[in-house]
Amino acid sequence: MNAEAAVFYVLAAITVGSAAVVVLARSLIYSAFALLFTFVGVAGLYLLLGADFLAATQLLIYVGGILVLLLFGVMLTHKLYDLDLRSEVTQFLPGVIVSIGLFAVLALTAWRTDWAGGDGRAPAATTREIGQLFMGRYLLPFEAASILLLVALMGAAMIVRRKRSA
Amino acid sequence: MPSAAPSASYLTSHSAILAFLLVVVGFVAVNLVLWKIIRPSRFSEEKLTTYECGENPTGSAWIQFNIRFYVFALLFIIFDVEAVFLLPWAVVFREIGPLAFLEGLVFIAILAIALAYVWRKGDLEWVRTEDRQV
Amino acid sequence: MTPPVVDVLPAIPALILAVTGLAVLLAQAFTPRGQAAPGAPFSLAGLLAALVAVYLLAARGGGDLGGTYVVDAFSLYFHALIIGVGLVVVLLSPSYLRATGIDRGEYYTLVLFSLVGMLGLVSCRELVSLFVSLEVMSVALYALAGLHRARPESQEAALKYFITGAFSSGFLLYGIALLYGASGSTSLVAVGAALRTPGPATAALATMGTGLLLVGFGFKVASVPFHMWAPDVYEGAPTTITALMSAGVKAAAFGALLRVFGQALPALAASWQPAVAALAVVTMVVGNLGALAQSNLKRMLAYSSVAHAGYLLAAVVAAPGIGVEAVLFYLVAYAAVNLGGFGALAALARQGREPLSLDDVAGLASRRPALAAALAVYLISLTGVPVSAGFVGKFFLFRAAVNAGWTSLAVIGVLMSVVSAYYYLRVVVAMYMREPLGEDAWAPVPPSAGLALGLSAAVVLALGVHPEPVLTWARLAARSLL
Repeated sequence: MNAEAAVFYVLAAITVGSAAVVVLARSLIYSAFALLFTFVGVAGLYLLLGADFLAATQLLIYVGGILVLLLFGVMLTHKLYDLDLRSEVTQFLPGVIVSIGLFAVLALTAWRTDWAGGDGRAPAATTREIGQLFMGRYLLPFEAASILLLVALMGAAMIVRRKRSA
Repeated sequence: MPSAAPSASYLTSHSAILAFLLVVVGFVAVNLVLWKIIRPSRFSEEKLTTYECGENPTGSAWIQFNIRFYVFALLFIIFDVEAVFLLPWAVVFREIGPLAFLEGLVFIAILAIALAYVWRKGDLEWVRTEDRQV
Repeated sequence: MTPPVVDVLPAIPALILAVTGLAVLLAQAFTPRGQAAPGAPFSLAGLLAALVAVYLLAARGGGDLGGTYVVDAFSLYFHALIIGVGLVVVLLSPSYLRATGIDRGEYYTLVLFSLVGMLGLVSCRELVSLFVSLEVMSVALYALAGLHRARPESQEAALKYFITGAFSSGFLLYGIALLYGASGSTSLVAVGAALRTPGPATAALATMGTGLLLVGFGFKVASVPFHMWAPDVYEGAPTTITALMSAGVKAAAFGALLRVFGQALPALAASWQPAVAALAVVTMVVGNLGALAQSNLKRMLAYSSVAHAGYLLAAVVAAPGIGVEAVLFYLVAYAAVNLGGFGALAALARQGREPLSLDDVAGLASRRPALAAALAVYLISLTGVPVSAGFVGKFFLFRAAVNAGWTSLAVIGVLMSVVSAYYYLRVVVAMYMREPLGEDAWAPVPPSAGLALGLSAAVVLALGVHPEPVLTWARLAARSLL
């Protein structure tokens, strides 16, 4: 096992383990903080795959933004400690069957696919390449993304605004 | 493991991050363990009380936050994402030329309109005018 | 390095709508408090300008933008349809917003942006751009569904729509990622070419990706079993927005479905056709049976729109042959009818209330004869009675299914249409055969809404009597997809 593989397994363990805590923790706060490690672990995996820009984005947006928002959301809830997170399990068996089925299908797909693609090298500097694509082939979705952000902002501001401002 | 592994130089250039991580985690762990061993541990009830004239705490430390924080966090994320989109543009616009500069400006202009919107709507004020009137 | 020259001309209709949306937003933000912002006139002007741009583009023969966005006969057809839907919705809106007290400046901007997303959805021939368009459309609609802050139903609608929408977006994205993995490209044409020569290495990946895409689109077009959000969202959202969802979103989603499955996945037809056929059957059956049980008119129309997704899917099975053209034609008929149906309810809204039950519309024919007649036309067309757009449309849908060898689908469709007659005609009977109950609680039909309803009814009747021009155009559009 070389160093790269070792790093991969450590990162994978961090990601999956903390994700399990997110789902299983009884306190919302623990879940939220465990999510931090999941996000960081995923960022590490991106980096390992050669997607350095994506890894930075993951850290900047998910760890720096989404998680903060999530924590604010948690702290907005009324009773942090008395809150029993576990909802009544009404459809345990169907849920288990669907989950296992989906996992089996996805795992089988991954298993049966020959993943050897590309020339085995990651693009040297992904940020530059992404910038060139934004300015060329993907100009329209790039500009559409700003519209998307604007729409999201409007929706969020409207929902949070307490009273109607005519 | 992915069969299409990134080049060795790429990994080497990013291994600094790993080194940093190890140093950070190691520094905290070593200090915690080391001082745990060195320091004397003499427990007494007295040590658990509030220091000097401090108030005795009441209730839980987890209080409900003001919804305002949430609004600002939301606005922050929107512009956070904007910054991420602008990063690749900033790297290349000089070499592509004025057209690319213009294209980036359009992107920024649309979000400037978003900023103008939330500003005019009073979403950037901590205490909104409507709340003040009530 | 030379700047990559991008010809933005083909995107002009979408750009006009986006700029109009921004202008409306600024106008609204800088209008002093207490004064009404000119949202509706701005939007109407922008939509008309976009329609002119579509006409000019059609005369020019369309175009292509950097390989991500294409304006061919297919997208021009949808452009005209979607902008038409936008016009009718904007005409219906001012009186409804006033009557329900949700006259907010953001409304028109969000409607225009959602239309921009729809235009992108039918024009993108590249999966990432397609996804961005889808999100622009959806996010605007999430906010619009929850516009009615005071009504818990509206809040519920927004939340449900957002959660199921985000869920379905996740499926779509997963599918897109797997297709990219299988083909090494996100361009529809390149994916299609790569999948035509499948290796054993990627066959599983491509099939899985197709399945996930189908689930994602299934949510968006509200096909059973991914329909459970539709009745609640259609009921809770402001009625004009419900009209936009049922006419515009469905059209755009079917447009994207046809383009993706027709251009990128024809090689896998043998594996997705049976799945689509199964979806069509359950959708037709569950949608119609669900509608039977509804007493709320908005919910009834919501289930009816689920049922119609089933009819349309029956013809998608026959794609890329004669099916595409049948779907395109029926989408116009269906959009006109749904805009009319929801629009008629919206036009009667007064003081936050609108007619929702059979009792509410009882005897409407004597009080609002013109509106009742128009509503009767829409309902008859939904049933599929001859000399209405619905009849001609269903005829082509089911003929496409039969020609493609799926006769059983057509038989089920016809049977379910017969079932649907009961719940559609029940409303007509209430309007014409029953006495009005109590005071006249509804608003007189506002002129702009009257114009919108008249337009929809005219389209329904015109398509029923003389379908040839639209059919020719649909045929042209279908051919450009191949």
